[in-house]
Amino acid sequence: MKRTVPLVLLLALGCSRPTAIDRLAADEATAREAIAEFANRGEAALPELRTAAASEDPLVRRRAKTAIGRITGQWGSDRGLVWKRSVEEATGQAKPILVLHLFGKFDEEFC
Amino acid sequence: MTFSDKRVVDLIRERLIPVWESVAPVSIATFDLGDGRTVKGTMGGEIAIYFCRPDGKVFDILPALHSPHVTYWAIKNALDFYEKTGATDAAISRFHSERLAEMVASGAGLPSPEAQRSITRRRAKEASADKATRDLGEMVHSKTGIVSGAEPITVVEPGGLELHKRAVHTAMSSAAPRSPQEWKEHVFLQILQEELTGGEFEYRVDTLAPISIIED
Repeated sequence: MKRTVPLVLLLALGCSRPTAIDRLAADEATAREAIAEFANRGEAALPELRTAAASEDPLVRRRAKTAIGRITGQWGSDRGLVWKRSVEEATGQAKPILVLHLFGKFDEEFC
Repeated sequence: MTFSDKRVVDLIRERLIPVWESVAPVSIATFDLGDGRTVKGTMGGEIAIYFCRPDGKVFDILPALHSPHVTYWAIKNALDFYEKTGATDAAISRFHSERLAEMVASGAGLPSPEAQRSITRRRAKEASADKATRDLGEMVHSKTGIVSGAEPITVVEPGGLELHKRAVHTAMSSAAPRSPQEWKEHVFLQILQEELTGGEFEYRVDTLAPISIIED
C-alpha cells in the first residue's frame, strides 16, 4: 500500500501535464511555448515533430512545421537538411557553400 | 519542392554547407471579394542559388526555381568544377568565358518564343494603371503560392534555364570573384528582372479591372 500511493500520485501528475505535442493543438500562446520548447531541444526533437507534421489536424501540422523550421532553417523540412542563416557562418570550412537567396524566410510559411 | 527532393538533399548534405539568406520580404496580397470571401497569395518569389568556395566567393549561379532534376545536375556540375579546378579566380573566368563562347557560337540561350511571350505578358502587366491589377497579374503570371485550403499550393512557371545560363556566363566571364550579396542586385534586377521589394498588401476588389483578370 505504501508503494502504491506515490505511484498513483506520479501517474496522476504525469497525466495532468500535456506533452509538447499535445500543446501544439492548444491555444496560440500555449502552442507558441511548445514550439519554443521544441526549438530549444534542437535536432533531437525532429523525429517527434515529423510525426506531428503528418497529423490529421491541420493546425498541429502547421505548428509542427513551424517548429521544424526553427530547428532546420527550412519550414516543414522532412529530409534532415540543416541550413545556416548567413554566409559568414559557413565560410572557412572544408566544404564549398550553397547559398539560396529568396524572398521571405525559408523557415516560415509563405516564403 | 526542390529542397525536399531526396537526391538534391542528399547531395547538399554530403558535399556542401547550405545557407539561406532573405533578399526581401515576401509579397503577400489579399483581395477582399466581399461577402467574407478573400483570395490570398504570394507574388513573384524568384530564387537564386549561388555556388561558393569555402571563402564565400561565388563560382557559379543558378538563377530561378527549377525542377529537382535540373537543380540536382546544376549542383553536381558545380561540384565537379570545384573539385577539378579548386575554383581559382582564373578557372572561374576561363570556365564562364568558354561556356559563353560555346553558347554564342551555337545560338543557345536566346529568348525562346515562350520566354518572349512571358516577357511580353510581364511588360503588359507593368503597364496596368493600378497596383491591385498589377499584383493580381503577378499572381497569375508568376510563381504563386495560393491559399485555398489547409495547405498552400505553389504554382511554378517554367524558368528559362539556357537564357539565364547565358546571362550568368556573360556576367561572370569578366567579373572579379564576389560574394552572393555582391551579386544579388545583378541577379535579381538584371537577370531575373524582379524588384527587391516586398510586403503585405490588401485590396478591396471594387474596381472592374482586377475582376476582369479573374474572369479571364
